[in-house]
Amino acid sequence: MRVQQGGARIDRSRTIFFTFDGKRLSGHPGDTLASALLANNIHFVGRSFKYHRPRGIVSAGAEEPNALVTVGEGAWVEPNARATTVELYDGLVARSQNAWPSLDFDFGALTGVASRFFPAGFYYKTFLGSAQRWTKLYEPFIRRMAGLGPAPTAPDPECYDKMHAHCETLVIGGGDAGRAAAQAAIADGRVILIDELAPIEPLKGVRILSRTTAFGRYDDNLVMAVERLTDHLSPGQRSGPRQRLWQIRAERIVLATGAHQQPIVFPNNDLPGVMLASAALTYLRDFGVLVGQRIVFVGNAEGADEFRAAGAEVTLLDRAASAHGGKCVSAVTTPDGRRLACDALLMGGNWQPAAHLHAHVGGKLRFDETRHCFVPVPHEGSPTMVGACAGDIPVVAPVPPVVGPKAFIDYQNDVTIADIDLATREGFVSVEHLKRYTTTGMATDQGKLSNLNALRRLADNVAAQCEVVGTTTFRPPYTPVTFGALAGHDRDLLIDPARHTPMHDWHVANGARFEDVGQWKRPWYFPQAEEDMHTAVQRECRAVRNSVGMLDASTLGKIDIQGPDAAAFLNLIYTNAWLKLGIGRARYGVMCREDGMVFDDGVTVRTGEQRFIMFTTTGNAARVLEHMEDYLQTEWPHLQVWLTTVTEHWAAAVVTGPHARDLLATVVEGTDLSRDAFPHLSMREGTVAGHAVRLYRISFTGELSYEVHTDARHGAAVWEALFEAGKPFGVTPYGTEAMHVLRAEKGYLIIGQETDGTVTPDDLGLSWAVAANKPDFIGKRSLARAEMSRADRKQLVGLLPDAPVPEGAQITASANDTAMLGHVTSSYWSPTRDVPFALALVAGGRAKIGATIHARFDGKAVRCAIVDPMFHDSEGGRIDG
Amino acid sequence: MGELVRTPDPAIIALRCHSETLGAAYDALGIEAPTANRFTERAGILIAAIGPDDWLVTADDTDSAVLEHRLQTALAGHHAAVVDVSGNRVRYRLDGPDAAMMLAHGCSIDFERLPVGSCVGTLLARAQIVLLKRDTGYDLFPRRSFAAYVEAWFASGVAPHAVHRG
Repeated sequence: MRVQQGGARIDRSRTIFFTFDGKRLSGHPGDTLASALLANNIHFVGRSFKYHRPRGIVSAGAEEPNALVTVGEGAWVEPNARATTVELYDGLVARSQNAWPSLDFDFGALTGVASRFFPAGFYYKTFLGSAQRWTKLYEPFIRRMAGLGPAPTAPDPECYDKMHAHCETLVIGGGDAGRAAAQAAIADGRVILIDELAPIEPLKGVRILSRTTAFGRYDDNLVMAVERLTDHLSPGQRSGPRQRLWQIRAERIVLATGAHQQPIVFPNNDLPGVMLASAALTYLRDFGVLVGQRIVFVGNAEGADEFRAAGAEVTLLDRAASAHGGKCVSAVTTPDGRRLACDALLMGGNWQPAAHLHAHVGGKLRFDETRHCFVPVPHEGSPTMVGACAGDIPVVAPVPPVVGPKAFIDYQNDVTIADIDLATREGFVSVEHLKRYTTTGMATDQGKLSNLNALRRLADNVAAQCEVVGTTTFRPPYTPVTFGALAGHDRDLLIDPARHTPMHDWHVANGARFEDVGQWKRPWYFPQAEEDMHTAVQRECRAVRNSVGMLDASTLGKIDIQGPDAAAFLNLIYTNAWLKLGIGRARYGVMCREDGMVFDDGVTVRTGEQRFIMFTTTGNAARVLEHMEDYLQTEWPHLQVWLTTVTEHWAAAVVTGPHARDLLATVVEGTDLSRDAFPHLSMREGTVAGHAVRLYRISFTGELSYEVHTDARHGAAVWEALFEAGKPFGVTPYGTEAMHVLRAEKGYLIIGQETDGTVTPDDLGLSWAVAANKPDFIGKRSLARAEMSRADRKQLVGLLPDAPVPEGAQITASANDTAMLGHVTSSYWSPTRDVPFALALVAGGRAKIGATIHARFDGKAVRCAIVDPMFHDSEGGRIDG
Repeated sequence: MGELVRTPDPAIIALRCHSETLGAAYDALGIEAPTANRFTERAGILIAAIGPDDWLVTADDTDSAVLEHRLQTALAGHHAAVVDVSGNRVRYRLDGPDAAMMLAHGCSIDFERLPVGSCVGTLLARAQIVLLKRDTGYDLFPRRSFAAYVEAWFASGVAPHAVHRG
């Protein structure tokens, strides 16, 4: 009930209204949902996680384990909000959780009767039972009965913000100690003060972040905090982001995070109306709310006089034997058997410093025998701790626990003292094991009100000092953080950068469907009218084989390599020989890792005596550059070579097909394109539409092919000029899918598709590209191992299956055999031969060419003939047009 | 308030060489040498020390091929790489009283303490950028393929500060 005393945080001149489980109630601005419920004499606000026991408000802050409610409606619904930290606003709608069909009559409460079937280690014990029982019985049952509030189903309509900040001093906690520390630090530079509550009195020279919780401390004085910007307003009044995630880097951190009073353990200590004495005092002083009229204190009775002055009848007890009541406490029994009627039972336990942020980065705690709690131990570079957090707390004798039924240690996870005792008897005597076995301290409140009592009990059980038993590890977050705040702006279209090539707008205008390749958006295929993907891809492939097609290859990795040792460097990086490559000539190369496995492949071109340009696969561009820089800086610092990424500098258009030369002849100026003057695997320079271009004869289709590279600033213009020039030849834009089909028909591999980090050059039939006579190259030593020349290694072969087979299908010798010989790496419909075809890695595959094997998938077996991985133009004549 | 403007693509040269051979390049450009993580500029040509042995030269009103050739000539005989990378990055100017605040939504640099004349390689949200701090604002150089992402991030990501696209 509301009384005349106290009320520092509320505005009594205004009354606002809210509902709880549909009932209309009133409160004042400044109230929390908990204080407003208590002002309306409501203690019973929810049911517990496992036993569905009636639960009430225990605390007045972030440590609350019980009073979890669902706030808001529709898309704005938020489950598991702590009523003790929800600021009341006009029109707030709150509902109790974990109760069905209603809070007053809950079916699940029957499990309380059956609680002897839910002992400590229940989950572990059921895991050890039969798997069928788990899937059919336990899991569905646990899923239905357990859990907190339901997650909202509608998309979150709110937006969230992120912010970085820097300061010389970061003070966490806006109480007296925190304010004093902030004030004292002003002379040292920028000061930020983080406070959980609504705006407090400003401090000149201090930036105060109110309604903000510092939830994690990380290395190098980084603190993460979440600021609640609009949660205290009704949805109609909200504008702008709902919450803001702060990443604050500070020279110094001061923790003034206070301490949490701990509950006292006795039977039925979880009844609504049983709460922390300090919390009851906070409700009186800050909110003018008296939590009961017949109040019994157990243990420390600080503030008893204030309750009397507010009109309550107050009794002080050293200990309680048990509490009694149904949906609210109605009486307490003393150890000598007296029964006292009461409507509020206040637990005056001792205090535990809120040292979480100290411990997040490995800060240690020691057990203080005087204060009976763990206090933080400062160390070199640790935050400064002030006030209660540093151990400046009342010295209170701990009240020993009373063992009996329903004497709870962990409210939120329904762990009783009997569970702790059972776990100890079963041998779980390490604090880490105890935590996992009983789940104590593992709920969303992270054991703020349970760890100390659990540890003390464990210490008693094993007759050890608390110091020896120790604590479990504190990890962020201190309180739950919304996914929205963590995501911030990284959602919807901004969830990951979509990288666009210079020709992107053209592709969009021409109806491309896009494929994500890493972060790149690459045209996948260009459907015409009603075409489906298969039809479009087959048409695109036929255009390349019969006339001419164009592909945007701008995403290929490109690295400029320069220096007197550039050729020697390539000779070490690649498996094949590079010293004698002529200027203007190109060569295909394979790169291995030290273990001899293929890492990347591509063409590199010598553009000058001491200069090369390397092309890498799209997905490996950054990795190859790092790999090469790593070797240059750590293994071969004597080599004079500079590497520069030019991936984005060069836009690249592939022009390929029998009419490729004809197309270019109409648009390229200054280049002799004739077959003899510009042979395969060479480079020439020229001009297209007034822009300088480099032309490379490189083919990934098996057809006459040119790559036209130009400064990305002119990429779109050159592409359009080429396309315009191609119209008389019926030039067809094609995407990555047709590119895959065309290369597979020629048996050209794709790194990451035909390779998986266990494939050597020889496995791929590329031993011609390994110069074993070179003094050294990356992977040489590994490739010389006997294992690498075994005849039964998986080797790349072609397959001609009777029917299409999916990529990844297992290969077996017969339709019934189960021994796996390999798998399908690529599978397509050949537009050239109008049959399905595939590439596969098959054990001893090259020796099996001509044999029949089976591809197995979805319970089916498809017969396949093993063939050379070459399905088109095996003579290779088409490459010259 | 802040204003984000995409400025005309400059010529950009990536210059890799040991600092002791760099004098020849400065002489060719007529620019004072920047110290680490600083930039200097003169007559539309700017040189930024973005990493060990790593410089970025930008120029307005100079053709990139001409600039490349000038530097190659100046550094002939030295172990240096002069590479035209004008296509690699685009450039934005961010001005206005809230410019630093807008960047702070997605960038971990301490802009209050960052001296004018600094250049840093950093992340803006999820895009790598080179950032120059000027008297009146910032030059941002994301990679070209990230331009659409950076613009979309500014358009939706820096509330409550108003952004004007120039």
